[in-house]
Amino acid sequence: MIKKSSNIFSGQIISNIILAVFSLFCILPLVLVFSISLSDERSIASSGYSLIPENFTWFAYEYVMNSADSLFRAYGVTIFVTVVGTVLSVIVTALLSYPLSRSELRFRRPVLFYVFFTMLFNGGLVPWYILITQYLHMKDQIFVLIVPYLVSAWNVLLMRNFFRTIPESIMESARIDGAGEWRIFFKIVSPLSLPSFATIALLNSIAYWNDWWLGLLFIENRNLFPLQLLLQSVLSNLDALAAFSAARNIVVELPGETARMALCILAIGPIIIAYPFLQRYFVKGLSVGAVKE
Amino acid sequence: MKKRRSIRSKWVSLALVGAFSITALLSGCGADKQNTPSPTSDPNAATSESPDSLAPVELSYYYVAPPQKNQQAIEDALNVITKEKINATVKLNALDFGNYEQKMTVMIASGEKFDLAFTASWFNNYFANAAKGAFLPLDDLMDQYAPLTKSGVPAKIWEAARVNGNIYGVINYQTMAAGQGISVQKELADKYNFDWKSVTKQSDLEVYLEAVKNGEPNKVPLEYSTASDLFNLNMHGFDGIGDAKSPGVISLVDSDLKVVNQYESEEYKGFITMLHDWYEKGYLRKDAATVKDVSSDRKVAKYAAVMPAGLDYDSTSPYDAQGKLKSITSVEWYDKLITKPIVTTSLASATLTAISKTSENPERAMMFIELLNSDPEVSNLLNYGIEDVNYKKVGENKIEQIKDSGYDPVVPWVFGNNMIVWQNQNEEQNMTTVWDELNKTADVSPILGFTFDVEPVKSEIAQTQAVIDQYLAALSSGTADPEKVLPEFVAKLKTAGSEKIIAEKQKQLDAWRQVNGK
Repeated sequence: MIKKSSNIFSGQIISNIILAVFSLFCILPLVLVFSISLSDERSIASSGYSLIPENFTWFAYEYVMNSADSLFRAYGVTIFVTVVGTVLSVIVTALLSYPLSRSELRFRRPVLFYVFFTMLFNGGLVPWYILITQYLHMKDQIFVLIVPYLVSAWNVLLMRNFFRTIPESIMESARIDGAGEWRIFFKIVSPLSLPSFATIALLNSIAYWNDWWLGLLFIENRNLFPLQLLLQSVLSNLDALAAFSAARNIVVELPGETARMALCILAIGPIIIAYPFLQRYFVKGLSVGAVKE
Repeated sequence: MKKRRSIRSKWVSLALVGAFSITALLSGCGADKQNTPSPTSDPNAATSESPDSLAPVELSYYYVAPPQKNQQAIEDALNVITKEKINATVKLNALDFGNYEQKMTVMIASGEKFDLAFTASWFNNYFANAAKGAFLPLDDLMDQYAPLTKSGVPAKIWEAARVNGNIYGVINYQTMAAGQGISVQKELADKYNFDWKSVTKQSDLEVYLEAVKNGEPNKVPLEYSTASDLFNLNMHGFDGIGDAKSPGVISLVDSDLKVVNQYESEEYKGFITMLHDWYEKGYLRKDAATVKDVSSDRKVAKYAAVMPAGLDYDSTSPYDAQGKLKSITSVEWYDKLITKPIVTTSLASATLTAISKTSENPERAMMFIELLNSDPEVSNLLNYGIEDVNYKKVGENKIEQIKDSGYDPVVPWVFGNNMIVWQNQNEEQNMTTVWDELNKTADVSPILGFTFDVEPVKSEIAQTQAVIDQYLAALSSGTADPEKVLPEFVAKLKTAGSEKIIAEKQKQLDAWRQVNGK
C-alpha cells in the first residue's frame, strides 16, 4: 500500500520533471529573443547571444518606434481587424455551415460541392486581385483586410461536421415546442456548438492578427497598415537603409539582429492572451468536428 | 446509388464549366484593360504647348523608398510646381523595399492603371517587363516631350536600355562605370607595411594576408561568402551574358565576341588554384564554403581584406569614396583599383523610370519625367524636401540637411538625372562632373545593350544552376582541390547542358550584332 503510493508519487515527480524540462524548451527561446532585443548590437556580434543582455540598451525598440511613426495606429488597425473579423467570420461561417448540416435543405449537396470545389481550384492571384480592386473597389479600405478571409471552405466543412453531431431529435423537440428556425439556431444549436465556434474564432483571430499579405496587396495608405505589414516594412527598409547609407558614405548606427528580435516581441503582442482563454475549447472542437456518424 | 453518382458527376462537370468560363471572363477583362489606352503621338502636340491648353490630369508614380513622415507635404509642394508647369498633379506612391517588387508584379499582371514606375535590371525586372509589354516604347515620346532628358545621358548609355530596338525606360543618370579592385584595412596595412599602392593583381595580396594570419589571431585575412562569388568576371577580363554565374561569357578584348565557358578558362583555373593554396594556408575561414551572411562579421571588422571590390576610384585618387566599407565596419580602408572602370549593361540599366502600358496620359507622364530630369527644383524637392524645413541652403548647389526633419529618402537614383542633385553635407566634394566624365570616358563593354533571352534554354539554365550551386562555393572558396574537382564540375556542367546554353547565347549575340552593326 505504502509502496504503491510512493510509486505514484515518484511517477508524478518524473512526469513533472519531464514537463518542466519541456516547458523550459518552449520558454527559453522566447526569453532569449527578448534578451537579444535588449542587447547591444556590437556585443552580439563579438560574443554571441546570451540569456542576460551583456550591454543593456533600449536602442532597438527606440529605433523601431521612431521609424514606425504609426506603430500605435497599426496596433489599432490590427486589433480592429482581428476583433471585427473574428466575430464576423464566425457568424458568417456558422450561417453557411448550419443549413448545410441539415438534411432538409434542398440543393444541399451542390452547394456543399461548390464550397468544397474552392478548396481544390481557385482563380489564382491575379484574377483575385482584379476582382477586389476593379470590381469591388476595395483597395485602400479597411474592410479589404477583413472581407477576403470571412469564409474559408475548410472552416465551413469543419463546422458543418460539428453541427451534424447534434442529434436531430433535439431540434425536433424544439420545433414541437413551437420554436422557429432562428430560435432553434440561436437558443438550441449555438450554445451546444460553443467548442466549434471557439475553434474557428481562435484559428481566424490568429490568421487576422498575423496577416500582412492583404495589406501588402491592397493597402497603400500607411495609416491603414496592419501591424505585421508595418513591422515587415521596418525590417526590409532597415536592410535597404544600411546598404544605401553605405553607398552614400554615411556612417550610421543601425540595429540589425536586435531590431529583428524587438520586432518579433512587438509582433506577438496581445494575441498571446487569446490562447489561454480559447485553448480549452480548441482540442475538443477539433476532435469533435472530425468524428462523423 | 448509381443514379446519385450520375447526378453528382453532372454537377461536377457543370461546376467545372462554370469555373472555366469565370476564369476566362476574368482574364479576358484583364487583357482588355491592358490594351485600351494607346499613346496618341500627335505630332502637333509639341512641347511648346502652354500648360493652360492642357487638360488637368493626375499621374500616379510608383517608386521604392523608405517611408517618410513628411511625404504628404512634399507631394503638395511638388503638385504646386507640376500644376503650374504641366497642369498635372502627381500622386507619389513610395513603396517599401520588401513590398515593391511583389506589388508591381501583381499590378502589371492585372493591368491596373498607373503612369510611372521605377524599374531596374535588379529590381522590378526591367528587361522582363519590357519584353512582355508592360511598358510603353518611349523613343518618340522622349524626342517630342523630353529633349533635355535625352541629351542629359550620353548616347552610348542609352543603348543599355534598348529591348528589341526600343527604349522602354528612361535612364536615371548616375555613376555607370565600375572597376574592380581590392580593399584592405588601413590600420593593418600600415602596421605590416603593406604596399597596397603597388597591387596590380589579386595575388599581390598574399604578403598582406600572410602577415595578418601570423600577427592577428582575432582576424580572418580574407572575406568570403556564398552571396558574392570571388571570381569576378570583369576582374578577369570577361563580361557576363545574362546571369553572371551561368556558363557562357565573352572576353572584353575579343572583337569576334566568341562566347566561351568561363569555368573552362585558364583564368578560372588559375584563380581557384591560388585560392585553394590560400585556403590551405588558413587565409579564409575554415567553413568558408557555407558562410552565407557576413554582415555581423563585418560589423566588428573581422576581415582584413575584401576582394573583389567594385570601385570607381581608389585611395590613390582624390575622389575615392572611402566610406563604403567604413560605414559598415567603422574602421578605415584603403582601396586599390586593379581593372579600369567600364560601363556594362547591368550597370547602365541599374536605375530607370518607365511609363506603364496602362497609362492614360503617357504624354503628360513624359513631361513629368522631363521635369524630374532637368528641373533642379523638382529633383531636389524629391531628394531633400522643402527648404528651411528639411534642409538649409549653404551654397549655390550645396545644402545641409536638417536632422530628423521627416524627409530624407536616401534614394537619389530613383529621381531622374543625378547631375542636377545638389551636394549634401555627407559629400566632401561635388562629384557630379567627376562621375559624368568617368561615364563618358570609360570603356564600354562590347555587348552593351545586348540582353539574353533565357526562354529557349530555360531548363538547361535551371539544371546548370543546380550544378553551380553544388560546386561553385567549394571551388571559389578554395575548399576543394581544383585538380580533382574542377574537371568533375566542368563535366557535370556539360551533362546539364552548358554547351547548349553557350550555343544559344552565341546565336542571340550574332543576331544582335547583325541588327546593330557591331
